[in-house]
Amino acid sequence: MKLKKFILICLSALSIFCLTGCWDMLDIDNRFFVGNIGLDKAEEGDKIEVTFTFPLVRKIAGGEGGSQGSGSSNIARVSTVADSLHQAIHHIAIRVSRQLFFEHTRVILLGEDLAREGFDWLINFISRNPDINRRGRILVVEGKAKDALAIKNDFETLLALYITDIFQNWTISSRFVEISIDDFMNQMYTTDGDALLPRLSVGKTDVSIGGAAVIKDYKLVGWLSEEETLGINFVMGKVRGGDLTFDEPGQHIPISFGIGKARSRIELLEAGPYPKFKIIEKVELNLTETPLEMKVDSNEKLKSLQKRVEEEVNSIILRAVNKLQKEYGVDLVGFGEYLYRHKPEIWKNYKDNWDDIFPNAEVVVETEVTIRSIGVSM
Amino acid sequence: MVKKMQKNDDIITTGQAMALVINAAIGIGLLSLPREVTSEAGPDGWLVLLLGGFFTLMGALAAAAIIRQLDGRTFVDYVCFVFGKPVGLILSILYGIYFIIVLSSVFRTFAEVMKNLALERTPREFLILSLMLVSVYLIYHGLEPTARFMEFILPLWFIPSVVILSLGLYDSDFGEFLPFLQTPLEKLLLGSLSTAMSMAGYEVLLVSAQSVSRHEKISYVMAVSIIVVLAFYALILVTVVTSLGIAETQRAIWPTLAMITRITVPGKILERLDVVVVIVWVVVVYTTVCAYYFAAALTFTNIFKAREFRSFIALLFPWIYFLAMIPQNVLEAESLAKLGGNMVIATSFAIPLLLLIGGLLKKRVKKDEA
Repeated sequence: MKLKKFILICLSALSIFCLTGCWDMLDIDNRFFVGNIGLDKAEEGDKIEVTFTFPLVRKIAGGEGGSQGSGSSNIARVSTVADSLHQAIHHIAIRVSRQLFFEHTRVILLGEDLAREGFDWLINFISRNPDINRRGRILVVEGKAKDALAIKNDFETLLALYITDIFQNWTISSRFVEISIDDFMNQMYTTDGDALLPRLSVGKTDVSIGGAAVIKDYKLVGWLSEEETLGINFVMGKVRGGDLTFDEPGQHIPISFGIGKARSRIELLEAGPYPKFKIIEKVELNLTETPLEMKVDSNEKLKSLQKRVEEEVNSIILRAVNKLQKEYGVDLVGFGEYLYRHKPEIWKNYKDNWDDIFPNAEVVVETEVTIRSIGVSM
Repeated sequence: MVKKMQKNDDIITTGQAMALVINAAIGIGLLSLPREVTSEAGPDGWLVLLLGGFFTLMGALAAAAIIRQLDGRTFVDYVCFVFGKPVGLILSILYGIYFIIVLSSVFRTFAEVMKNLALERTPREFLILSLMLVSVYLIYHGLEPTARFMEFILPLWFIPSVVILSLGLYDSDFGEFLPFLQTPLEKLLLGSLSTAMSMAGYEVLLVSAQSVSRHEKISYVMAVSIIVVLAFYALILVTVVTSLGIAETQRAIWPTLAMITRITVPGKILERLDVVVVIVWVVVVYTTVCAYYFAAALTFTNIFKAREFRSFIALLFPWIYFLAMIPQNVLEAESLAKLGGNMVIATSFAIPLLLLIGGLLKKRVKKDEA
């Protein structure tokens, strides 16, 4: 009996070794949380230049204690030149003191030169490696990603948070592309390499996100201006806010509207050798600024103003769609997808030559504008 | 005869039988099912799923009819009675082998997923062995405690996973299911077969039917469990396809995991549900392997007419383990799972159907003789 008890005690003591603890334990203070990944084309050959930035938690936490004057940055930045992203991670791993950790990566920045060369390998890398955070953002930098990561901004301690938080202002400005890494991957797979990405421009102490980078076949082929991006967002039904401003002939200051709601629908009008599409746009606006001498005091005036805006929105949309058609020849407004989903019989005739057909498709826009509020003054 | 050998209380209730079937059916299939159905039928995948559910229901009802014919005999005895001893024994061994293959593929997939999801550096051997030992601990006590555990644990993983999946429906694009009905019919039928493989699980109840208390309610048990399983899989398919898109669903090895790890609820209140998913995943796999492990041990016990099924738990242990360790990578593990899936056609559809017809014929012949 005593022996049995003894054995039991020994067994339970031994079980401590296999029942407790965690095989993969890595304490939080032994990790570097990479916040941004910047990818550029290297000067030499086919290589890429990879830049990681990660916050130095010790310094950020200590900053409140009064050591703010130390001058050194809270954010560490390392770059390396490598053949692939995976190789770059290993290059950098032997230069930093802690393990790099990508589950909290917020931003992936693509340098312009690299994006023009094509980045299908990046899509593959992200989909193959589950430990990359896919709720982050991916942007194309006008210029070098490395320079964007060197910005010292006054708004946020962390650069990654600064960039991702700009996206939250999407409801205020619909002039950039709101897309997460996840949606981007989804779209790249569905369209086999065509997408719009947000464009990031670098200033002296800040960055701005506006306009779009046109990606065709996993390559950057050009840019869309902020207004053109607004047009595409109208078609895609992605407008959630923002402003519409245009000059009124004979007036010295422009008229401004805030965008309330916008909905859009695509219709196929004709399916000849080239299809004819109609974009039906319904927009609700709030009047926010008019020249002082312009009084909106009757329904007729409001109606004529609505007509005026309708024309304006029509031309914004048409210009943007035409640019995608004629200049870039890439269907990012979802005409092909619309045909595939709703008119599969017709799509069969077009799908093989869609790249040639899309630029020649005829597009008409019909906008219906409702001005919901004119403010508290006439 | 076998009944005498078992303890009197080793009888399971109707609810426990249901929990057993549901738990056995929902296993590793939930991770790969969206890929399988969308690669077969694209946007018409949900049709494939419904068709597969219908086939499974038919198979399950056939199995229920067999269970009603048993009259206290074991499944192995009944197979021998209908087909004659040599053929019956071979078929029973086929069932045993089938259970072992399914078991090892489940164990292996479990380890692969855990390595990708959370425990990157933990060796597979350790993950598989520890789960095996825990399942041995449960089934060692017999069917009744196992089934009682299943009944108890079912809501604990079912409800959280339904909640998580529903969160994935936020901001999703149902247009992914268009165009409707562009898939040729033979592809739909072929696809539904592979769906039926993921939904099988009632064969576990078939071989342990000797312990079910009320045979007259068995069709009801089967129908309800298959419908629950079907509804659960339908929810998975809809969430995964609407949030990943058809193209990526076809490409990911485990589309369901890919979907779950990226659920974000607006306002960032809930992000990174991976932890909950790991817990649910372990429980789902655990219930599946317990059901199949028990079925495997019981089948071999009945084949050898042994008194004690516990020794077979120990005897099968190394075989299952080594079979699980054979695949060199995740693709080979997939083909092991496919092999088990293909055997489902025999064990869950063909043999039960033949058995049902043969048994009825035999009964009539006997009556005529009398």
